[in-house]
Amino acid sequence: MSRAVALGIVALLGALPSQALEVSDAPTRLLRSPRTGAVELKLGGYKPRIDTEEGLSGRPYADTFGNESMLLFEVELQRYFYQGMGSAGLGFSAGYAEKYADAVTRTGEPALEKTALKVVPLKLNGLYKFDYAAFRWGVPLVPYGKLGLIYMPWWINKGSDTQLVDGREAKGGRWGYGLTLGASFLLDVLEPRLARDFDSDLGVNHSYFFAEWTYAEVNNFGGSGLVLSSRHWMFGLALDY
Amino acid sequence: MRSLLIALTFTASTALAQTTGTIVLLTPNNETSLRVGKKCDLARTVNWTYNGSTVTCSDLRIWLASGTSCAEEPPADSKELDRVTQAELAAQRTGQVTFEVQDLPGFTDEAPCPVADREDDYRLCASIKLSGAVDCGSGTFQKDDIEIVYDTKPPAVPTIESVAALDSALSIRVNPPDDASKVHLSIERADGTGSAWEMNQSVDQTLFRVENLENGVTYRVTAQSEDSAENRSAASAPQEGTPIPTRGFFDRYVEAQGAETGGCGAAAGGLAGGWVLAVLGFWLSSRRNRS
Repeated sequence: MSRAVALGIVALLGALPSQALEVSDAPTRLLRSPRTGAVELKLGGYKPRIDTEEGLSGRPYADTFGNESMLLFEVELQRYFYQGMGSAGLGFSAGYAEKYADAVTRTGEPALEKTALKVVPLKLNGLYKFDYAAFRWGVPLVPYGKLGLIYMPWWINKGSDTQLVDGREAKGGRWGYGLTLGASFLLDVLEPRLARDFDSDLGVNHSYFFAEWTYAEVNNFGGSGLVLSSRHWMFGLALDY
Repeated sequence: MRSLLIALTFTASTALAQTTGTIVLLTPNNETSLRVGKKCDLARTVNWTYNGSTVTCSDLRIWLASGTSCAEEPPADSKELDRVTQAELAAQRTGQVTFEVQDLPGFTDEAPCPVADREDDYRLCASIKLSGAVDCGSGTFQKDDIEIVYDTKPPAVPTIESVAALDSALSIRVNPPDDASKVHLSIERADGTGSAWEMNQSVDQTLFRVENLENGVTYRVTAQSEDSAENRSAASAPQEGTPIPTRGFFDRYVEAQGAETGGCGAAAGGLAGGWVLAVLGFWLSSRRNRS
């Protein structure tokens, strides 16, 4: 009898951990929401290479804006079509940048009105993120690359109006292409519990800080006219959903 | 004893109902004050509404009076605009009165409308006597009134704070006085050739931009303020400005032999718009699939 009781106690104690494991395992699986894409918000300095235009006799951008960058803000929406050894998909981004400076008089003195260059970069990118190591082995860095088409509407104001000089209206759009390389830091590793809550409450699977460098040739594929190409850094926050 | 209590209760409730009647005067724009000026035939309309018991002790009377308050009944020097009898009031609870500026009681044969440089207070008054707890003898008057200001005093003269020379334009900042509602700006060539023209803006926008001017020509500008009664001040001290040609970024670009000719092709714009729609479409569809 005492042997039977002892066996019963051993069986009960043996069953307890397995029960506990089942309880702790089940919610983890339930909390993970599907991952279909990402949203990126980014900010950076964009300096168009206007002064590199072939045949230009001066440096109009540097003379007007003092060789400074424009502050560019962009929002990018991404959709993953492949998730396996990393993630691949398409992304669309839209941004806005402007730069103001004093207009000048004929003698070169600053006038009492402003002139401004404004651009709206629109990009359609194919993208690949090597996030396999992050999700599989817990390495919190995700290198990635993007390659895509760019269309950039632009316009130039003096005072409150778009400029018109010698019959040329200072507005238009330029086509080009761009390559972007970057790395994201997976913020989930800093606060795993908060990251799980973010996922279960809002459907945000992962969040990242990132830095990326863009090589953009926006000159109508070598055509004449305004060169809005650039080499610039952007920094921002990305959310997988 | 119980009958007495019931009778007292009914009496009290009746009295309460009788004293809750109100007369309300409202302008079509819900203004609390009407400011009128030198246009003597300008007609203003005010609506009246009576809310309350049909038990009234007097006619409803509406009149114009001098001063800043209303008596219970029209004084001798007032001008009565309407009188609604108790019988009419039983069927008609709202109405309208209209008066012209020249009806205000301050005007006489000796001093007819308009009178220059005056700012006089008037009231449009309405009153009705309601029954008291026992009878009309202990009743009270219910009244309402609307302020009317006859104002032919011009507002103070504005000052021109600055005249900035722009390309084919002048930017002019005006400081209007507190009692102004509008500012008028008069522009003419300083050499006297051509004719003057005028712009006006609300006092909320004190910066004028005068465009389509000739560079190198000096223009003289003066400002006048106008109040809500449409009185205009004298002209401000004149200021002068000369538009000058300036160069913006695109001027510099063109001067540097830039080849850009501008213009936004419809095809390019359409394609860009197509991108936006396509991307939004796939993004939205992905959101819908998830939910």
